[in-house]
Amino acid sequence: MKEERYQQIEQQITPKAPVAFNMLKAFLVGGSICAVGQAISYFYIIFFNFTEKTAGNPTVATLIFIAMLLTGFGLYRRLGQFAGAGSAVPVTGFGNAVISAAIEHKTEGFVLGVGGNMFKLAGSVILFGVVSAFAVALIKTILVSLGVISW
Amino acid sequence: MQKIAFFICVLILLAGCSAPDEKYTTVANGQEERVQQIEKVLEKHESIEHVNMVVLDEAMLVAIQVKPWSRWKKQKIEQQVKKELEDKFPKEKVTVSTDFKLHWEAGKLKEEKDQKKIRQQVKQLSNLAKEET
Repeated sequence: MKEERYQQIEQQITPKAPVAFNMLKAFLVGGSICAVGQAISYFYIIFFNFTEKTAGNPTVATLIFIAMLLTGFGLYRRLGQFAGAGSAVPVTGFGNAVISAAIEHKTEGFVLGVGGNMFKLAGSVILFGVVSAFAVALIKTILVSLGVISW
Repeated sequence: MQKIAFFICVLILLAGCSAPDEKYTTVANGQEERVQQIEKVLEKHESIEHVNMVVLDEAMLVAIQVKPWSRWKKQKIEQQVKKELEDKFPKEKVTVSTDFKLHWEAGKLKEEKDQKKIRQQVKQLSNLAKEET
């Protein structure tokens, strides 16, 4: 069978992905996660001494913590199966990536297994975050010292 | 299930029908004249939705909530209002903020009777507004 023919047959047989429906699911679940995040942020603002500016950090930490617990109990997998990118793109996806890798390699020991593989998936996220934050801060520092913008 | 969804939809729709509150909530002891002056300044800005203000002898706290689409320009509005108020009241310590925290806390001061506590709280809030991280 020629390659082209094979591809034709393959395309005929493969069931079509319900793109619109998947997008709707991702939108709804991702939106709900963000709504929960907003609620947590308001919780910190109202009950603790955080402003809108400073409430971001504890909110992110709380969301990651919740996602880690859900991953440990095996609930986040079901959410991920249902919502796809809707559960992976928010910051909760980061917590899920860390803990799922840790659980997977637990049998290899705590140091070489869990410690060595924990950041296999999420390590690149941290690295890119730190490097891009450094680059942006550098650009801003230069612009401020030149007097183009102010802090 | 459908009935519950319908009920929730109706509730959310009806919640939008509640009458809008007064635009200004003020805590001021015998400073009504200054309050009017501040209101005059704020009146010019159309994007302001609600203001909670605390006016004391030597300091004032103006906590603004802006309309949803103007939130992108929150900081700009804050700086503008601050500058206008500082020009009008050069001797007083003016704190202007569009932060939800300050708006919430300033609103709570309406029920506070103790002047000393109000003074303390205003000082604390103006320090909080400066926090970056």
